[in-house]
Amino acid sequence: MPPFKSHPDPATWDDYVDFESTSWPKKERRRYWIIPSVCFNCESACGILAYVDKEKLTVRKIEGHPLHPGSRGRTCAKGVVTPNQLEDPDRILYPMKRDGDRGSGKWRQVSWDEALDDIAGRLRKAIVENRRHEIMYHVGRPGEDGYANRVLQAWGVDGHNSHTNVCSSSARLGHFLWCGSDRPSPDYANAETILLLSSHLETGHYFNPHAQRIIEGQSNGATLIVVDPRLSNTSAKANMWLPAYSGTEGALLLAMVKVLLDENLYDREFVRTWVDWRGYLRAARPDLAVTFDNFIVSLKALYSEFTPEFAAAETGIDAAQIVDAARAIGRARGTFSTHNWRSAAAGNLWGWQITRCLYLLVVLTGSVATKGGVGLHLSNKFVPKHPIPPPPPDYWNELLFPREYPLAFFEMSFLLPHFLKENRGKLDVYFTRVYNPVWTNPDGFSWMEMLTDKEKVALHVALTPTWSETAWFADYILPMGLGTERHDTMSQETHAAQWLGFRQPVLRVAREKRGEKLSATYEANPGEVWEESEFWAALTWRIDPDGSLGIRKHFESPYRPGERVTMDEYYGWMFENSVPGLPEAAATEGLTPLAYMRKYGVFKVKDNVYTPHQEPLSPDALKGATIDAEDEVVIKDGQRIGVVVNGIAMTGFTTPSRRLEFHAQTLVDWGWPEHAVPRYVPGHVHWRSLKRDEGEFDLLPNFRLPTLIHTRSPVKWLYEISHDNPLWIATADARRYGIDTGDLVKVRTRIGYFVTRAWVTEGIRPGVLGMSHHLGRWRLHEEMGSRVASALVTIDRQGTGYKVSQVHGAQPFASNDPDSSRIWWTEVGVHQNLTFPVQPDPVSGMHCWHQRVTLEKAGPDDRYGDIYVDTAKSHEVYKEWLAMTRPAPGPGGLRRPLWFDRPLRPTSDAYRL
Amino acid sequence: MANYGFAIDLRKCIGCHACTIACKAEHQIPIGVNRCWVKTVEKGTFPNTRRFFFPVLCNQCDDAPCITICPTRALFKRRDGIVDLHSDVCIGCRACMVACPYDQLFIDPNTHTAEKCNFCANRVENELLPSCVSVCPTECRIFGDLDDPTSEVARIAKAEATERGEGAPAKSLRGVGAPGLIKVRKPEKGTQPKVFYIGAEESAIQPEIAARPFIYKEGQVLLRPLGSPEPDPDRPDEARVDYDTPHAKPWGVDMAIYLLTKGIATGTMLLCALVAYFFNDRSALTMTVGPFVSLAFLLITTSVLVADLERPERFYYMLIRPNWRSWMVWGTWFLIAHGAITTLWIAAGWFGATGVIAWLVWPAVIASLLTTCYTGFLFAQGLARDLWQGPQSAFDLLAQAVAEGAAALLITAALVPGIGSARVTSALAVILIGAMVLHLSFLVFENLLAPSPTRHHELAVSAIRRGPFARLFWGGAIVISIVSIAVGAVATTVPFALALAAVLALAGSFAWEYVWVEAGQSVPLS
Repeated sequence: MPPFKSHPDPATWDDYVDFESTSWPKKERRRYWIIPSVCFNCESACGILAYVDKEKLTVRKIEGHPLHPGSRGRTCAKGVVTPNQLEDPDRILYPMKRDGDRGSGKWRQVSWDEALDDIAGRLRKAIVENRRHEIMYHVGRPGEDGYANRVLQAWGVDGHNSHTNVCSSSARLGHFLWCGSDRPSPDYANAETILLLSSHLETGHYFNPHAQRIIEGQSNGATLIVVDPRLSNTSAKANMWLPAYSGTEGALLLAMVKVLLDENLYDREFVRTWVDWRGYLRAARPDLAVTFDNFIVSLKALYSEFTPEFAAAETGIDAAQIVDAARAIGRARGTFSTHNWRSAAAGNLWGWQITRCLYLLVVLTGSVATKGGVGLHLSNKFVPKHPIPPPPPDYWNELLFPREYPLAFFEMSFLLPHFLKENRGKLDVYFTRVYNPVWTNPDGFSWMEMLTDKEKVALHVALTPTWSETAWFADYILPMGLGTERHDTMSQETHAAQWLGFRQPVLRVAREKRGEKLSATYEANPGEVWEESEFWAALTWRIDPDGSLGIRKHFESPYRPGERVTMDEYYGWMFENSVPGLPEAAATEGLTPLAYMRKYGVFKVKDNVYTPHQEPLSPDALKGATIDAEDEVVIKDGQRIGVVVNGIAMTGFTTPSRRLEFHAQTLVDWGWPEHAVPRYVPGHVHWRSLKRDEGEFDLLPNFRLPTLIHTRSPVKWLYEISHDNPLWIATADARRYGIDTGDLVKVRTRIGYFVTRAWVTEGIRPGVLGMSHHLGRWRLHEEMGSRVASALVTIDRQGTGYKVSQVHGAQPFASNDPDSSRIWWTEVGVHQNLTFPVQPDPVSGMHCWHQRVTLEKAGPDDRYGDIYVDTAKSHEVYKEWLAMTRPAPGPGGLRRPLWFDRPLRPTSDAYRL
Repeated sequence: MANYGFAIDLRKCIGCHACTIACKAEHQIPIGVNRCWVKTVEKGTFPNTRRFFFPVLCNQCDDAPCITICPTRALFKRRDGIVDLHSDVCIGCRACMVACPYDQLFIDPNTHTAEKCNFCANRVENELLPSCVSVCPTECRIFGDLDDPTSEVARIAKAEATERGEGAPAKSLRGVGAPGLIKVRKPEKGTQPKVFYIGAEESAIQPEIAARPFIYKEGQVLLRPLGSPEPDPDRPDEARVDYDTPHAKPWGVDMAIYLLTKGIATGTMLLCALVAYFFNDRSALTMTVGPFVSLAFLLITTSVLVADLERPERFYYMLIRPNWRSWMVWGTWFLIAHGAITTLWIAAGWFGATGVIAWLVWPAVIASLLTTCYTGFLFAQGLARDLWQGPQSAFDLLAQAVAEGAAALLITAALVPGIGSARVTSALAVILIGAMVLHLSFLVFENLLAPSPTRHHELAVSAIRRGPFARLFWGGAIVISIVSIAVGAVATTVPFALALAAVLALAGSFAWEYVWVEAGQSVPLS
């Protein structure tokens, strides 16, 4: 038998000869360049190989990259469909400028020159007139590390806005308060017990890299426990599925904590060494001597009420099952892996407390950054330095981090329309980049109001690979490349290693291999689709053409002074100067670092990254430091810089105490003393508070499908599999209402309603409704928007009331792709997020996705896809949630604790009010 | 030479559809059809609900029914055991789709020829794993050589054989060893499938178990096979399919029309020959007009068959590239023979060459019988469809052809007065009634009395008896046929009453032929 390979050998990548599959079994040969890149369809940054047809200069197919440490040669469905995106008949191929009222759908094609000059002129004016705070860059999935941030930094603009507070900030805050690292990096493959509070096997943050490792762990004997009121595909693979009522996860987790404490299943030595129990006892138990035994005693007392029976009554899970799960976790001492990203944390008010309760299990089992445990993203994600670093911005943009939310983990992005409505500021140039707030965020009509108001947003530039509900309200639509059409560097904490991926515009690379010289990536991409990296460099040069503003210099070539940096130079510099080991690896192959990365697309910086907190402090760091023997910590300049373990000074964690913080003094200092330790706080849609006889339900609107990519996936092969998002309803509930699968139902929220179809299932807890947030795309013009994936709708406005009606769903259409005439699906889902008011967690700033809704059967006048929203009501709800906050200043007159970073951190002075 | 096989460890499958899409990308598969996909089945009540993922692809059967039935040898087995397809010589008859018990073939809307999974033979020849294997995030798909005892897939296959009581005990296979852990799809079909499933749930691997409330994707029930098990509202715990992408049924009303027109053609000629022989009849009815009717309907039959091909311009490939194991090829030659003999008969009848007629009688009878009955064997080669299995349908086809022939002749006699004798007409009436009684008895026995040999058969019969085909079956095939017998029996000598009985007989027959074709294909295969 021939030795089968999963992929062609890299030695053949420059001239790979393949049999053409479509004329098989005739043996027609095709020649390809196989050019590696990085997938752009979620945040996993999986390695991909693009097969570039040498004759046609097109991307024939995408496969996984066998040398990629994170994805290991495999991809998910979303990666493979990249060619669908490239050839999408509804793609935007040229820069377009609005040619009528905003939102009128009138556009004219413009040249890149015209667009650059116009936008750069405005930016320059804002910068020169010291209106930098009116410039904002709002990003969905970044898909790259550090480039765009550096652009804003070069402009001196505190204008980085993100999507994170509708995504993961409660998960992040919970992790961060414990260990100073906001993203967990579980080592699933080596775990003995895995506990997921997310549907990680189908949709996780790093779906493909994690799914393969979770199953690897399970195949090697790990017990997989999944907590989710919905039978997700992940729940379906669980050895134990614990469908707790949503918002009660904290009770479940603390009951497990109690079992570990009572049955002595915790790692005493680890907890003694690495938890800041002294800090807790001093702050919370002045009655007790500061000894470790007293800490355990007080822990047991603190969680004494969380008996399995109590948790059973609260969560709906059998007490015996809770104990079984806890023991499985306890048995896995040191090899307990877990993850909590969206579902519970993102769904519930105080969701970050759920994360903290979960992490308490990680801590008690001694599984922090161990083999088989939960690592830290700080040590597992590798971000190289970019050339010529600009200084941080020297002011604070209150539209991003307003005083009410000093601990918000990321920008209060989804409240922007309400801030502008309250006249907290205005925007002169607003970039949305792969970001579709009208559709993705709650309360999309408030976004639409904001975007159509030229007083609030003077110029809206949408950088997007495809049409979106938001791009519709832009002044410029600038088409940006997909995963095989752009340069970026990207890394993720997929497992216990560090790696760096290099995304490439493969058609440009191919043409340059052919000896052509191209001056811009849009010359090689379809139409005039560009890439952001090169675009930002060009734009920056036009803002500061003579360098007098001190901005241009950050985009000058490190090799040719005074000239604009090329992509080869930018990334070449990075690979030569800031990726340890890469120059040496390249030299062994006789390549420059850039040529090495163009050939392989990825570099493994470090493997088996475990226990980074045990790194000894360097002699340099120790210079001038003192040791506090009682607390076993190293102190320098009044700050703790490390921990002493068995006489060795180690770096510890990046928390103020350098240990794992069971007690978060930061929360006490900033006005949340009742939340100082991990505790159970029921969510805002607790099941006991539902008026079931009045039709109230808890709606879970925040689950994804394994086949779709938020707003970048309107492509035929994916939509063929998943094109509808019916409302999951338990059989028992459906029977009460006389609802059958396929029936139209009406779901009312505080601010409106939507009409969709029911799917009756045994796969969801009674009392809970579920609806995937991946579907329900719409467009306002027959041909501007995805015809594969969106419904044509009309929007009728009466004052602050908006009514959406579907004209038609997907239907076949003629195009260059014969498949477009074969579309067989019609209903493409219902856009539920429009009907959700903003519900910002007063601490983390996370939008709390779960909705208290009222269910009824649809009336005779209700049609599939009907949506109604009153934005006046949504502003009222905003004010209610805003009233829950405890605003800055904190200690020392700060806007925000100094140890709380920001995606684009301004100077420390700017942290002060 | 290798013998490639495949295993899927369902314990690792997470239902992510990466395989489905990787296959689409590798082979540029249009939307609406799939070489491989993942079915999802749910079972149990909350909170003990389970969901099972079940990926399907071509089994590359050792004894592949698609190869047997393919009339032009477009489907073939490679030396490495892969069942591959020359789309250049495929005529698009869809017989392979009828033969495959696993719903693995489909018509490619770009080429209008059959297509199927071939384990990515184009990659295998480049020493690359099939694309669905290479892409799979959890590595649940295993590809290898069944003849290489060291390969993982061979060890899995051996464990499966051991479980069935064949072969020596398998070498230890990690995690494999629990009884019933390794299965293939529909082993009872005897096709020797080469895709082995580890840890398959019964209701997922057997398509006839799980109910199909509807395909949740859409709220559109178009894809739901009509003969699926119905969900029982009082048993929410029972298995139900919640995602599947079955291919459209291959045969439609054209096949029912073919059955009717062919029945008329062969029945008419058969009766002309027998009447000419036994009654020594030399009337225009048996000498020219009747045979002419036969020939006309034979041409219609042939036209329907050719028009029904996806690539009608390639119809003659059946003659120049015949696969003699396919009843479709034999049928083609029977139709040709039938046509030739009928033409000769008409010529002899026209010129009054009674000697030639006497010589043609038995060839005409044999050609009519073969042309009538081969269809039963052809349908039985449609291994996917349990309703069509067994030789009994050949007898029913004969009964129907005789009834249809008698009906056609009676109608002709009524329309063209004086071409036949009263003696022959009344004999034809008796034959019509007799054949219809036989046909009805057959229907009653097959659909109401005989036990179903398989669950698939039971579902098809249940779709006929009380499912979506009940109205046509009871109202059309049964009641109209009874009425035709009654009318025929009451008015044995009134030409127009006989013609009415004949029309009713044709209608009843056609109703059954339609039900037989449709209900046969109504049971889900995947």
